[in-house]
Order: sequence, then C-alpha cells, then structure tokens
Amino acid sequence: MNLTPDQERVLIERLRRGDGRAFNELVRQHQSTVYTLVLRLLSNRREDALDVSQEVFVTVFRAIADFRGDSRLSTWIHRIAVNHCRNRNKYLGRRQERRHDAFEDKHEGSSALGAGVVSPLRGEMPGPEQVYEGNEAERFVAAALDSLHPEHREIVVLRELEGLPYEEIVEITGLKIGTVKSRLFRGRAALESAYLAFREGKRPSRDTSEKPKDEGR
Amino acid sequence: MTEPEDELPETPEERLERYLDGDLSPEERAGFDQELNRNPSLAARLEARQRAVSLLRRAGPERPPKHFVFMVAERARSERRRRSPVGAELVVAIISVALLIALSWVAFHGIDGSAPSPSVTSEKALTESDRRLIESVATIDSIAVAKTGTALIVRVRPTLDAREFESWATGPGAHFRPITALPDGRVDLTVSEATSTGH
Repeated sequence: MNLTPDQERVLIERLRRGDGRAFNELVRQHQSTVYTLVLRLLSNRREDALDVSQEVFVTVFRAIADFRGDSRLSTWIHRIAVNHCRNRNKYLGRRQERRHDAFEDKHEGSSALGAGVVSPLRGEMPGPEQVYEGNEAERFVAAALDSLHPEHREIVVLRELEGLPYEEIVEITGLKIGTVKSRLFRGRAALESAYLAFREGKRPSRDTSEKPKDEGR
Repeated sequence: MTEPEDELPETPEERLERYLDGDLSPEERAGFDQELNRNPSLAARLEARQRAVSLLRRAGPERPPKHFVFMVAERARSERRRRSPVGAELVVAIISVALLIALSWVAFHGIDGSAPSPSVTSEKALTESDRRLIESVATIDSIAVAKTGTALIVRVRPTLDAREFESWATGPGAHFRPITALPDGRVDLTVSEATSTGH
C-alpha cells in the first residue's frame, strides 16, 4: 500500500512523536522493499540481510527527527539501507580477506595450491547451498550479484532491479551522475560475463579488487 | 581522471547502454537496429545483457520472516536501553525504589500512618492465573509493587506495542485497567481486586 504525500506527512509526524504504532506501520509498509534491496546488495546472504534490514529500521526510527522531508521518505530509507550495506560489504570483504590470507599462510609452499588454482575460500560466500539450490533465477541472482564489485552491484541493483531513475540513484548514493553511469556500464558488462559463465554451467569469477577500475569514464 | 563525454564520438558500447536505458530517439534506434544486424557480436552482447537483467528481475521481491515487525521493535527497544545513559537509569531506579517504599508504607499504615493494614502484598499477591494471563502477552518486568485499596499495581513490559496491549487489557472481558502507557513501551496496570483471588 502506497501512502499519499499527506498520509506520509502524518506518519512522519507520528514517528517524530515516538509513536510505537506508527513505527510498526512504517516497518510493515517498507519491510519487503527494504529486505529485498538489502538482500540483493549483500548478494543474497540471507542471515546478513535480515540483520542489516533490522538495523536499517532502527536507524530510521532513531534519525527520523533529522529527516527534513527534502526527499521522499522511501528515498531516505533507501539511502540508509545503501549505507548500511556498504558498511556490511566492507566488513564481509575484510573478513574474507583475512580468512584467505590465513588460508594461504597455512598452505604456503603447498603444491596443491599452485598458480591458477582457486582457493576454496574465495568461493565461500554466498556458499554452494545458496548458489546451487533454488530455481534458475535465484541461482543466477546469487552468483551474478556476488561476482560484481560491491560498488557496481549497488548501481545495478538500484537501476535494474529497483528500476529507479538516475536522479534518484544520485540522491540515494550521493555519487555524481557520471560515476553512476560509469559504474552501471561496468556492472552491466560484468553481468553479461556472469550470464555467459552461468549459461555454460560455470561459476562467474568475482571482482575482488579493493577499488573498481571505473572512475573516469 | 575524467574525460568530457561530449568531445568523443559515441562508441557502439555507449549506444548499447543508451539502448538499454531506452534513451535512443526513434531514428537512433532504427540506426542501432541496423547496426545490430551488421554486427552479430554486438547483438549477442545485447542479448546476453537483456537475458541477465531479465533473470535478475525474475527473482522478484522477497518477504522477510513473519515476525519481522516484532523483531525490529524488540531490537529498537534493546538499542534504546543500551544507549540510555547509566546515570539516568540509576535516577529512575532510585525514584522507583523510593516510590515503592512510600507506597508500601501507605499500604501498611494508611494515609494517616496509624492503622496497620493486612493488605500488604508481595510478588505472591499475583495469582498463578493472573500471571499466566499477563505472561501470555507480556514479559513481567517487575510485579506487584504494592496493593493500594482495591488494586494491585503491576508493571509489565509488553511484547505487543503499547497500544495493542492497552486495547487487549481494556477490551471486552479484560481484567486490567491501564493507568499509564509509558513512552518506553511499558504499561502500568491496575489489576482489579476481583482478578487477584485470595485477597
């Protein structure tokens, strides 16, 4: 159910007054959108998505007094969700890197991990159970999104899955329009590679670089 | 390093992007369709991208677990408790204890301080059935603070939100009359004498 601007204003006022019922209404209304967005931004890691989605709403409740109404409430909530996901992706990336380093240290000199051999830890997330179970679309979503660099994934999800216009993506991400388009360009190209790999029954390779090579197009 | 886009001729890749965004004019689109016919590799790339996006979209929206609203409300409450300064909690605790002592004293001695009253109560004053009734919707935080006149004052921390709890407590056939809905989601209740059997 979409609220009219007047209904939304009333809801925001009630939230500002600390009305618990209004908070529940807000969560009910946006839970599916936020959960799906967060789930996709975190490459279908369900446990993390559930945790982050809750964090998003707690932040909304805590920060509602600062919401000036310059944008739509849904845009503001999207912005909070995107920021939380950026932090979680950074954390997951660091954790995975540490594990990978630990694995390599442990196996240093081992002939079993020669050049060209992919460490099983690189493929640890989202996990085989997520990638190889479920229907075709679900399997593709998990594998394809996970293969994208988080910064490209963010734009691909907002544009291709959420169907948002560029202006709103700029508002949500705080990026310049040129950067948004450039990241979408790279993201789409990576998606194409992921699709071709998926069609051949292969797992797409992941972009694990710290910074994507895109700014400057 | 940023290069100004308008100084460079548009590449087939860039036209492909604009095509996917639906940004080509009818004339440009017709030209691009011809280009696709001449360039099978570009056509294959377009098809792969369209199929990839279509698969992504087919996954559709997801719903969080059934009790998501409740999970968020609980998380918000625990966040609030965690963030509230210890000093403020201490002041509230001291005031609550002082109030408890005062109420107990009044319950024992009456307002004029003379007549000792048998209506002093403790946690045991709440019967098992009262407790079960309350626990079916609430987590008992601190109970049976005092018995004043015909009522027990019971403080509970509801698992429902304050208003839902209030309507449950005061609805048809209810045993409780809330006296205060606290901003932190707790409700002070008056349990009527009739429900506190054995007093």
